[in-house]
Amino acid sequence: MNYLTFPKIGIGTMENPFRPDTTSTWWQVVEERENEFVIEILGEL
Amino acid sequence: MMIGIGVGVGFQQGVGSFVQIPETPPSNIIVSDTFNREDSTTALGNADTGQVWTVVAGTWGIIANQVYNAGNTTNAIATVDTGYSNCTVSVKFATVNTNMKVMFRVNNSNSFLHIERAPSSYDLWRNNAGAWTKLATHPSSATNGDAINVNLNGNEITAYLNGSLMYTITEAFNATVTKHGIGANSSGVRFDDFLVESL
Repeated sequence: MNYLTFPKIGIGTMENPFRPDTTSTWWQVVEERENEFVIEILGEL
Repeated sequence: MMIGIGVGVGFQQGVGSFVQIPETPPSNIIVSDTFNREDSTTALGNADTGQVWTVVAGTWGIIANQVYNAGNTTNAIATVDTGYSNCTVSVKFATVNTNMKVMFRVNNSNSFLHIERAPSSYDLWRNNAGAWTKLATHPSSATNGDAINVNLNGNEITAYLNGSLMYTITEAFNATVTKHGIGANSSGVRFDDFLVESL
């Protein structure tokens, strides 16, 4: 498991949604917290 | 006396001639729609299995046995109330472009989950009363005929692209909502082969 924690960025709009501040291209949220996301990096395709 | 014996033999033969009907596995199909029906610029009609398509937003139609966003409006949504919140939702993106979506657990036009085609990925989103959150992303090119499959099992949501795993998330939002369907932002995309199966 490759779990990492990233700050939550965005303002919650379609154009700028809440999301983890990561440059990874393949990930899934494992846990959502008030100001951050724990995500699993699944790879880079 | 002889007649009585004859009747008895006939009965025995009758019992012995019962044909065993092979057991067929129970179907788990809840909704199936090939959209193979007359063109319409204003209505989707009923699924092959009889359920009524409900337009949540926009105008939807049938063209050449596929579905399209006939109104060419953004955030158009159409759903079927399947009666199941836990199920597998599948649809084919017959003509794919950005902003086409498979919608699931749709409470209303501003409360749902969906997987959306982005320029270089398929992304899983939650819209909670206008608060948009991206919950997963899977990089891929878009290919006409892409098959999206979403497995909804309580709080666990797993999505596949053409049979390959994209991602699995834990998400309790709208967990008991039973409406699933499709979404689009433009008229150019086409959907086909919508299927909902029980787990």
